[in-house]
Amino acid sequence: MKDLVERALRKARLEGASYGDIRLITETSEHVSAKDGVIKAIVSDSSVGFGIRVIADGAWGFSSSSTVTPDEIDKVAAEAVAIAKASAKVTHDPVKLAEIKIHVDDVPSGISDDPRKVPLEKKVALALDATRSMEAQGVIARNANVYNSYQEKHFGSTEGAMIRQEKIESGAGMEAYASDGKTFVKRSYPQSFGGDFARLGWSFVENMDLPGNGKRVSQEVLALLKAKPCPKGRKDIVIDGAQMALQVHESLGHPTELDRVFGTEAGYAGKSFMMPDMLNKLQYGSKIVNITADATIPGAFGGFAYDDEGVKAKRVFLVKDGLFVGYLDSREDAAKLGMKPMGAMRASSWARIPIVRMVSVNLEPGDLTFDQLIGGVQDGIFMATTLSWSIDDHRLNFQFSAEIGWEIKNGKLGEMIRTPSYTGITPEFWNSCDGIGNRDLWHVWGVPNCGKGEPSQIMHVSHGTAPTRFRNIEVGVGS
Amino acid sequence: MRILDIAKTALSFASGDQVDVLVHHNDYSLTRFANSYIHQNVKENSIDVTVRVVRDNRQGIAQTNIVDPESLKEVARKAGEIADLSPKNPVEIKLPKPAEYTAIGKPDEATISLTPEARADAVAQMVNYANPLGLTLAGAYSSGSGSLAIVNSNGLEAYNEFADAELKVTAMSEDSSGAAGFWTPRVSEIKPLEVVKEAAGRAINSKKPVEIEPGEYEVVLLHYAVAELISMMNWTGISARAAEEGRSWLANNIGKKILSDKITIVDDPFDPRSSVRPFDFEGFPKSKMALVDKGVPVDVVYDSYFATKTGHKNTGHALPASSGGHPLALNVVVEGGTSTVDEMISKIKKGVLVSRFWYTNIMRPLEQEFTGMTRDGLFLIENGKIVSGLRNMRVTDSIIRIFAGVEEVENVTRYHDGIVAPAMRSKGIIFSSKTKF
Repeated sequence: MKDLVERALRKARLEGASYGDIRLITETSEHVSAKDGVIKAIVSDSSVGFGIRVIADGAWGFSSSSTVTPDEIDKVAAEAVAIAKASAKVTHDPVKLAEIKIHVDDVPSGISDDPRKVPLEKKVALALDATRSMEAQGVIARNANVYNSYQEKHFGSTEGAMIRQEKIESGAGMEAYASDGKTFVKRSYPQSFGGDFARLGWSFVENMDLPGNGKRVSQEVLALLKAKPCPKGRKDIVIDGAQMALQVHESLGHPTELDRVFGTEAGYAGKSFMMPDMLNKLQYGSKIVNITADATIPGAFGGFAYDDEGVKAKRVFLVKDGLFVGYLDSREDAAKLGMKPMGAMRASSWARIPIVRMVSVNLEPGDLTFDQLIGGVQDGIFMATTLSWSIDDHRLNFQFSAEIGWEIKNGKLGEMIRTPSYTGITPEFWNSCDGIGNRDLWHVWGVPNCGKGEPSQIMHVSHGTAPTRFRNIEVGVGS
Repeated sequence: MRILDIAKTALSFASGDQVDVLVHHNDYSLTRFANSYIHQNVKENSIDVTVRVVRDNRQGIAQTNIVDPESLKEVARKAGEIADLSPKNPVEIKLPKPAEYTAIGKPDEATISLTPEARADAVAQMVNYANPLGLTLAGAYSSGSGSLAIVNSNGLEAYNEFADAELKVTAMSEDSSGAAGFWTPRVSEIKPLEVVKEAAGRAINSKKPVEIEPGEYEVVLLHYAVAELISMMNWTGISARAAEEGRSWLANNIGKKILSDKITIVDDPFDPRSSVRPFDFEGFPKSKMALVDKGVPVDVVYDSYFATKTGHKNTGHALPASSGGHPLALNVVVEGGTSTVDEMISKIKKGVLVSRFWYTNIMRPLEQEFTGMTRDGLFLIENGKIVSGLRNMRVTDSIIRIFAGVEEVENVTRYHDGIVAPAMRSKGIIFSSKTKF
């Protein structure tokens, strides 16, 4: 592999590239999905390919191929340079990259309970058991899935980087549906979007205990059909960790992506309200809000040893004591602000160019127990598990709804509420935060479906969160 | 025809009661621009092979993108191994039989061979138009070609080649934006100047936006906005799987008039304005199908699995087997009416024009209640005229309710977001909150 990497870089230079890098990736994955006690699909996938990124005439070019041969490497390297030269016809200032330490490294997965070594029968049995565990009269559909993958990535650059990284991922989840013909409800465990995911081994899946949670899931989905609708008005709310992961993702993760800030996602994913003149000035949230970007968390789904520019993973603050202090960035964007890159350039596959993505973006834990969070609310709602989500293209006005909620009356949980919703404006919302769950309640949620970029890139990211309390929030939007 | 050979080779290596092989080749390029210069310019060349083996009504699926004989042998073996490990499916798996397909002709050569230089020239042309107007541009110009081959152990053999190109542009001033796009299987139909003029017009006309209060307003939805709503209805409720799972708005209302009688929706795989498809991803032949007729839901779409399970006829809407079985309409066309957009605007005393939506999401699938933002051109209409741009608003409303209130439909239909649709005028859309731009 190293020979092919070096060949690509030689060819790129020969064709006129002032900078070049290549990612050569081999991947395998296995996905078992079951429905209503029957296997829906078992899909085993293997993929190999490479992508070459170059700067020539001051502009970017990228080409990729699934045919990994020396001749194809030469062809694709030449294509990437030709594309860069075409880009240079409509250019701006020549691309400059912030300087980084160049690494030569080999990073194994470090996973001892490799899910690839677990017999497929065991995964099939787990998925089937999970759907059977949710069986109950009135439950219309029961879905479960079990996932694992392996990736080996070689990265090399004309600056001398040569890094091999391995990654093992595991995940699982389940959901039950119910309907009375007029209302449809669902209940997921442990989270929506197919469940929970991590760069961990089989024990991560087993520890979820899907079958052990099936009865509760089916009872809750049936109860939701008869539950009261969300009241309308302003209430104090406590949001569970799973929905907080989405809250952090949409209202802090995306707006701190520096490519959005510089307008390079304006035609698709949108811009950001968090502009550079607000850095170290905007009181993004209350004093207890601390948000980090941390790709070094062991097992975090959004973590890694090096990003796709060869920048070593770091932990940095994006919000410290409520103050906006940092961005997710690339070498190119960091150079524009004179900053040191923090390492957030990631591509979803060998066929995609790296762009600024979330890593593990985390709301740091506070000091309250769950009882203290709920106990501090006289009249409010506790909301759990993401149902729907929407936010404007500057990341200000958001509206989210949860699968399930419970009234909070005089510091205690009360009656169940069906699909509670809440809405707000990002900084106003985060400044109303007055309680964050402690480290015992904190969990790093794996999010498998973060979309961005053209052509589309679906990225694996994560968010460490705990249940969190907000005051005087508008709830109950819609019917 | 190389991918057909790959498909046949993989089929020859697989053993089972039934086997099918799907091979997809994709050659795709995209030039992305922002701040009026090209900042990303990419090319992808890939082949994907999916083998499905059925043994004793047990199914296994394996995929690879390595197409040498050894790898094809391995992927076929793996699919068989998975089938052996899978529990027996209670529904009989019946792969389609050989069929005749409607001939659709060869893809456009100029689209296949569009170069990065040509795409850059188009971007330059648009930037040169927008710069003197004080507008910056962002967007993407993509072109792709490829082929799809499906063979199965019943002797079915399906092969199709395709090509398409798309230009999408957002024009931005300090306080406004406008977007436009054009998708086509024939790149010569893309007129960059026309696309940028459309986007720029909306950006210029929505400068200095004013605010209105949330509430219900009469509305003109441009075809972009209509397509985005129809796309949500399709993804969340026009499938036999959604019907089985109790979440299909369409299945719940078959035969009932729930939308305006001015709304007729079909799935037409041969509409030349969309990506023409003679067969689905199992090789079953496609044909035109009514989804909603004059406001009355007609039927959801099926693949071979749901057809066997329910006794309904297969409508030819299978996705690749690896998707886990979710039949989907891929050529949705909303039929046009008799009005122009200007005529629709002229009939509104006080209302709004929505160019497009952003980040829409269904909250309640049976009611089709959704929330989402407006984007790239929201306008205030007073006394039959557009009088100013508006700051963006959040919509929380039922798509069924909005389309039940449709009184006029545009006499032109265009492709956007996978849907061919016209603009429409509806009696009401509910804005639930404001944002700050």
